[in-house]
Amino acid sequence: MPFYSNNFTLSVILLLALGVSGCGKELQCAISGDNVSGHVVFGDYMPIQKGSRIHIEASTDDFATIDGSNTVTNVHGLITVSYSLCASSDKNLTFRAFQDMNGNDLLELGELSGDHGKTEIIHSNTPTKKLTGIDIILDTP
Amino acid sequence: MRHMRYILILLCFATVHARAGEGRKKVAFRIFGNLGTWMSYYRQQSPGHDVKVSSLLAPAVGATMGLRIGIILAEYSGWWGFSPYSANPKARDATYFAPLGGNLGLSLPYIPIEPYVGYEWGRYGLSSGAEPVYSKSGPKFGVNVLFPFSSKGQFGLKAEYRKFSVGEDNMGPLPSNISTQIEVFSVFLTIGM
Repeated sequence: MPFYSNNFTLSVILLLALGVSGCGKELQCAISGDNVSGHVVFGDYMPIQKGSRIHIEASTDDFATIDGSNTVTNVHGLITVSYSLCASSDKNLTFRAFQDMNGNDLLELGELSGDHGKTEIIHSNTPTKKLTGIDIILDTP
Repeated sequence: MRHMRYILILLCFATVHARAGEGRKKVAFRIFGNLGTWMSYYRQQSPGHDVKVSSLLAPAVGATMGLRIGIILAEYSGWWGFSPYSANPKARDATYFAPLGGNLGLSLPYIPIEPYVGYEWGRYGLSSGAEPVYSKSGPKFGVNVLFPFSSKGQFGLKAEYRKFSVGEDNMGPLPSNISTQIEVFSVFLTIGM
């Protein structure tokens, strides 16, 4: 068989493998956009730092590992900031966010944080394949 | 309700038989191009928090088109407000405002001032992390100050104001305990016929 035909077949197989592997969610999100969206909200009387980084994380194992994450900057010191991120489908997901004071993307003592409060699942067999309204209240100093 | 009926009848009579100025037709097509500036105030409030973001002056361009029937104006309008300059390049404040709608107003002969009210649907973008976009419809108020420069042409100023409360952005409903309001001012140089 010609050389290019063998490589084309190999490329197709690799792409299919990526589609069913852990890289699949990145490919899906690259095509359809992030599959989780919502708002991070500062709780009543909680301190808001203008210009601070808000780090949002999704996990399937109580944050032993991070399944998906994103960081937004609260440029104007707003009470609520919208976000989106990419997470795995068909798994129990928990979400948390924190005001990252030192920019290291790690939740540390003294950083205002909060969680979504319940687990959610992105069902891959639904038409939209997305989770919306995943709001997180920062109420733990 | 009975008085409203008589007022409407009187208004219709006045629009049809309004005394025209010299050369002023009773029915006239109008089309204007608008070039100017806009600014906005964005405010969020909740227990313990009151945040205000003011957007600096930025360019805007638009058009209005419609009819004058007697003394009554009825027009479609639309414009696009571009992102304003900010001292901090990373904080572009309001990223755009794009309303479409209609106006109803008064155009009296010999008086260059035309007050009007309108209703429009608009999208407003704000720079804040994930850059939320708000869609809202609501009333607006405006006034034209126009002067003729030819037998048909007019030029002048157009000023408008609208204020609306928003309950959701492009990422879904906002938390119910947060009050979010947006005010937009615009001033245009307007020219047309």
